[in-house]
Amino acid sequence: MGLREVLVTLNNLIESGVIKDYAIGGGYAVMFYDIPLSTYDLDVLVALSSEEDYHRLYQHFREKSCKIEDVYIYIHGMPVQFLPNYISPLFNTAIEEASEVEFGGIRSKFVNIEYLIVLLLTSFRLKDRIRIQSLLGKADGTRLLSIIQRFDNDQRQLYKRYNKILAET
Amino acid sequence: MTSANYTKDTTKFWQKREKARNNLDSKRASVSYSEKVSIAGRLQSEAKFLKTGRIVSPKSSPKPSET
Repeated sequence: MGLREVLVTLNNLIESGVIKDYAIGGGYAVMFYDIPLSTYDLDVLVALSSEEDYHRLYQHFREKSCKIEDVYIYIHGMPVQFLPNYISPLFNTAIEEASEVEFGGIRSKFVNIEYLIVLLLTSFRLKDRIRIQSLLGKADGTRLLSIIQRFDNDQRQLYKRYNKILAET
Repeated sequence: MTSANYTKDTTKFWQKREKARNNLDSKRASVSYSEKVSIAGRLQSEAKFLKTGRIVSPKSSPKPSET
């Protein structure tokens, strides 16, 4: 039991209408882009129609007797955190523009590398900064800057953080 | 979803998640040695599985190793 089974479960959530779409983000997405990393929990960005659907999603797993601890739902033993699209326009677009990935017959979606970097720029903890540094060499710089400009705030926080990372690299 | 539906104050949302992540990290750090070995084995197998992934949608950036 592991990631494969979790991806199947996520695809079933779309088929059964519990969620509209999803994309894998966080540490597992970083690992997908060939950055060796030790991560434990799975971050899943989910497209939902409303905040009520977010509660329905937890209810769905509660009814299946899945262990729920804090914000984590344990799916096939893996702690999974769902990040709803309504929390930020960035999440929404990251899901819409995610890459479709095939794993031996199982289709899934992963946040693309430039969106992944911008998502890490929003959290910007020490481990996020280290991950950004590893990912930068694999990203399309023009595309990355355009995403930063699109989702930045009035204080240009994302752009400043991006420049800080570049200065440290 | 229109922009009006977005939650404006996300501070509480992230605080809750940060706390949960810290709890998970502490829980993971306090498990027995054999359990840590088992987690490490599982992570290795997940990393191997991730390597088998092939990007099939052309609109997004290709996986760097495939360029």
